[in-house]
Amino acid sequence: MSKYTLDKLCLLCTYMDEIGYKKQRLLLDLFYPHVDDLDIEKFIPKINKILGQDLASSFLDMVRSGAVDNMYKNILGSDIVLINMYSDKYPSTLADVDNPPIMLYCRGDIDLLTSKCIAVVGTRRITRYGRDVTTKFVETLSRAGYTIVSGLADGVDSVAHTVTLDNGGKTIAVFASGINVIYPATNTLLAKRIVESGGLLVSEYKPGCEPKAYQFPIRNRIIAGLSRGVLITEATLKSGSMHTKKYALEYGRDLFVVPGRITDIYSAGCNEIIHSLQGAMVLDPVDILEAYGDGPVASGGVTKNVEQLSIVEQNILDIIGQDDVHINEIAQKSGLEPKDLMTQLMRLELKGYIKSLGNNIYSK
Amino acid sequence: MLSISRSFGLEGLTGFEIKIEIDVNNGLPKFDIVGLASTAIKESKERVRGAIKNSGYIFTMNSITCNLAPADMKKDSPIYDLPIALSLLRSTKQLDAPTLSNYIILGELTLDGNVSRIKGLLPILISAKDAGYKNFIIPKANEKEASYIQNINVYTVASLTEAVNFLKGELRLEPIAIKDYDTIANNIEYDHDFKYVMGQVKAKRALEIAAAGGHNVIMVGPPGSGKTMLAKCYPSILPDLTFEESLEVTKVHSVAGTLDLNEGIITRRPFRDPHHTTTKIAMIGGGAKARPGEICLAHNGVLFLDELPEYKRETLESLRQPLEDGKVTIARNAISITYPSRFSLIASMNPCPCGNFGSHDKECKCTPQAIHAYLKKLSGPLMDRIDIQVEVDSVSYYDLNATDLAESSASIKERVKRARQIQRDRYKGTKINCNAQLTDALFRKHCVIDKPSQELMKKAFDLLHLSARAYTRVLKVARTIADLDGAENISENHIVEALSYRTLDNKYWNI
Repeated sequence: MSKYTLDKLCLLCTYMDEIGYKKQRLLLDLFYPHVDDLDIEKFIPKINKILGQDLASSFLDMVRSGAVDNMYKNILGSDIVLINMYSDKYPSTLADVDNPPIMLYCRGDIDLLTSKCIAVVGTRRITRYGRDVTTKFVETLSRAGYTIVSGLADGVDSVAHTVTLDNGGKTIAVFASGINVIYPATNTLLAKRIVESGGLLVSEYKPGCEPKAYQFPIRNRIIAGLSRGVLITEATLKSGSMHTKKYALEYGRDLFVVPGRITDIYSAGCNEIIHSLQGAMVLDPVDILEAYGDGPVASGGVTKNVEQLSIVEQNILDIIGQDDVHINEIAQKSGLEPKDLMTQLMRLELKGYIKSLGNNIYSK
Repeated sequence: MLSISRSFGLEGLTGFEIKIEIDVNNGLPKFDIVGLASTAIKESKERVRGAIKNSGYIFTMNSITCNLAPADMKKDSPIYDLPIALSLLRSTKQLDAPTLSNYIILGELTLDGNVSRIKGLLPILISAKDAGYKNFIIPKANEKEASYIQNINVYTVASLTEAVNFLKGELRLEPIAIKDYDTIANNIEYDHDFKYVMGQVKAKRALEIAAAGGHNVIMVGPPGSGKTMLAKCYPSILPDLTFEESLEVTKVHSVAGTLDLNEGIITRRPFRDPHHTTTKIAMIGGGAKARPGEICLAHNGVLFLDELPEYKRETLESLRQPLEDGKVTIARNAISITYPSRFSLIASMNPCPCGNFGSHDKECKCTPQAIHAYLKKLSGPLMDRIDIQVEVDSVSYYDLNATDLAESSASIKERVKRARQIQRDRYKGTKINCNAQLTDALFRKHCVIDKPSQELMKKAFDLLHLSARAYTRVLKVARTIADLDGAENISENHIVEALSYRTLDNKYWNI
């Protein structure tokens, strides 16, 4: 067996899925002082004590098989960058995290780990509202120079990454699977774009590791740990974002939460957080910038054309008011023929005054 | 002695003459039927034997040969019992009627000598009339079906004895009275009427446009939102069947045996809603006898496919060509038959497998992959043939509580009829008769829009993320809206309204 480096030692201790985090750390503490001339065979009694008889013997089999050497060689031959927890490249922000990842597998620009990061997370089943809100916040934040951290999942995560890329910003995706296992597979292109745009993919799981359900909430501690603040734009009560929120509070990160309608189950998680932590509510991306002492940035959004509205159009706008209104109600109150109603609504939508929220509901 | 009678056979919807020749010779008793007869016809012997005996005649103990000419055409329905029995009686000198071969005779016999109802009478009568035949003897049970064909003499008989006595001149029968189609077709009532559908402003307007321009529609909405109800009301706003259309429909249903005994002729537009487990063969037609499928039974009417993505992909794809051509050709080893299939497709679907995607008060339990796979079952080419997309949502208590009835189907139908008339006039001399069928050349001629409208279209397409495919669809629908409006040209307003029936592309098929 060739000489051990810190990288290889960390790989060795985290190689077996059967060994939990605590035992991995005990092994690491045992071997670390002797890394320069390590002979594992000498530590057999101690390993037995830590792992128990059965697990220890399979650990030793693994050590003797040279599996770690092979993996290490493969990684060196790929574009994966290793950062172990003793490395000076290891982001200091992760020190706050309980159970900090022993090894980070990275692809892309690792300097981003120490940049001004903010996490944007939320539901996988995003609604139109969630999409709009996420877009609005991420646009501003990425333009203001923040690195957007998220989890490459469907929904809010994908929107956050995509909008950042569209605005020329930098983004980090933290995986709950091995660095070369893109989940969901539909986001393969997005992952490629992230790397090509100078972004970063990060995982604490060894290459080839499949995403397992329990790994997702654990992964969220890295998302929260890397960031100075966590923005939740849309979340159900059972959303994984609720874990991210929990970690953010434990690690002393700022929490920013966008409210939704109280009847909307997709915003129920957000509203719940706001209910207990009123300071977390943000209504405008500028709220976040101000919290960090950054000035407002120039908005690149589309300015609404100021057009003369007809009396009928104005009337419909009045009926809609500040609510979400169903088309049947608009029809009843305006007394318009269906054909005129459809025309007027589409016209207002094209002019940017109202939005169709789906299910025949309209809002301003 | 040799005797001849005449009957008719069917290949698809076209009839051909069959000559029934019976020869009785001395020899051992036997009864042979030749001439590519199916099992059902071969079994005629037993029915004929029973009917003759039980009607009080004598069944000869000689050698009988029955030939169905032409010998190379397959004959498969048991409708020749009556002419065979009559010929046999004449051969055995029990029926003195030299006029026997002047009639086209159709009918199935029961063992007690009664004549029972046959399938496919209407297409036979029409073909035989075209071939120059004037006199018919048919089962009494088929009387209603025959009473709309003019300039022929149709006599109905209930039993073999009646037929014999009539041919002998001992019984006087009057040809059946011709009924006037318009009087019965004018008083049609549909079971479902839009006046009982509360709310659903957008969906109803969309269906009105669809009816006016012959467009196909897809309705997307959660379970229980009234998609089926809306679809069932749809035939009630379509223009009434003309006599010619009615005959076309009745012919198909006559062959398929789905005709209502009391109606005789179909005056309502057919509404077919095959279940989503329906196979391709059941949908477009086929089987050993090349029977008409659901799309043919929906000819000149409505084919309603509930839960569109649940149908087998193969079944859905087989609809593409009939949707385009308005007919379907079924080829089997011995025969190739073309059936008409110009139907309006009304499809409905849930927004996702669980039905709650996009809803604000119920959680959708489907994974994005599941939704993607669900929507992907509908191929682009199929969706391209559906011009109008509309979202249907659950009816709120607010709507259900309304006491006033909504606009009735009859008054919507008036507007639809006017718009259809405008289109018929405009497309006179071409092969099409409504906007949905516009060909490329005619599209360029009749869907011209001015400069401001073009700019509006461009802006809207960017804003709503519409694909190029949607362009012609929006304009065709705008053309129909203009026709409903009685306007010569498509204006901005028409385009704007048409755009609102295209918004689901962005919501469902662009993710």
